[in-house]
Amino acid sequence: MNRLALLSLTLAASCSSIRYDDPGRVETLTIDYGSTDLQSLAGQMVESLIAAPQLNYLDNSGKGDDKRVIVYTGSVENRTSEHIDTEGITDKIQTALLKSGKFRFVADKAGQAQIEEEIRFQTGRVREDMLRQMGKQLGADVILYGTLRSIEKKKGSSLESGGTRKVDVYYQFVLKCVNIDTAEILWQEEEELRKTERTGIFGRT
Amino acid sequence: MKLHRLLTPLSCILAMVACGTTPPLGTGTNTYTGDSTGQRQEFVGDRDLAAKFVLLDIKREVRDGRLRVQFDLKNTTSGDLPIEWAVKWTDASGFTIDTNPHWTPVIVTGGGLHSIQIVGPTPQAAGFQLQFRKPTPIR
Repeated sequence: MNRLALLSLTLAASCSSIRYDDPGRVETLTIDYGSTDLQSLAGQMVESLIAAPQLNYLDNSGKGDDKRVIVYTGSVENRTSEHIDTEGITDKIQTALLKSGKFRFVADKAGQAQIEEEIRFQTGRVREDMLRQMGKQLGADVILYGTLRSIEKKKGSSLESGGTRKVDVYYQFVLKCVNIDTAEILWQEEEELRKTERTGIFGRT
Repeated sequence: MKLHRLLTPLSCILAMVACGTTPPLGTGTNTYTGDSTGQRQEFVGDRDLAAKFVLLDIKREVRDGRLRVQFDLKNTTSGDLPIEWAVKWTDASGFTIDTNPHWTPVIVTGGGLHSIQIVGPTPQAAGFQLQFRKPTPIR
């Protein structure tokens, strides 16, 4: 009898469930880089880029009446100790900026490779009057690129800390917008994040 | 023995209920709406949170064709408190602008202020909804 009661209580604690959740919810499953960090870092950069008056318009030859800044999205260098897909950050920033209507974008590295492949494919297959060719792309005015760094500190459990292990991670994300013609840095922003984890004898506190 | 007879079916029922239900998502949300003219409404879903945090000094202006809003979040208690905030934007007709909003966690020091500045994601953004709630992280 006793065993049955214990078994059913164990079952209650060990059963699993699946549900859809809010993608915008704060996630603290582990101290590692996560979705909330991606959303926070990208979101703050987008706010700053949209608010930057020096990036409202840029007059360059061949642009016609639409003087909005044409952006080439470069890469964000991952200098953290973690494996982070930094294209997730640049994609998120680019999506929000495109929706804002403030900037125009040209295809990034992956897009250019796809274009080259498609043009090669069209040659000899597509009607001559519909054949697309190289040499008509928009010229980007600026490049957006940056660096993500982290500093991680760990302190093992000791009598002094009451058996609690501490981990502290600091992220620094720097993004720059550089004029391709002049190499002048037109805009630069820095965002910081700090996360701490305390693990006691009975798990995270 | 009698107690065991009572406890066993009860714990079995508890086990089934625990597997069949999902944990609660969190607490209520407090929402503050406003627009470029300054009209403001409050919807309090969590009275405890509304007592602990107050919105002060909401500034708004339209610069370069975009609505900018700045507000100070004041912690009325003496201890440091965590809170999550999110913002949704609406156009002049009140339709939501698709921006994939997310909750941002912050810790406001006891009696301290946390200043937040937000910029309309598109020139069409004419109104905003500031949302606050107690931390409900996935952990």
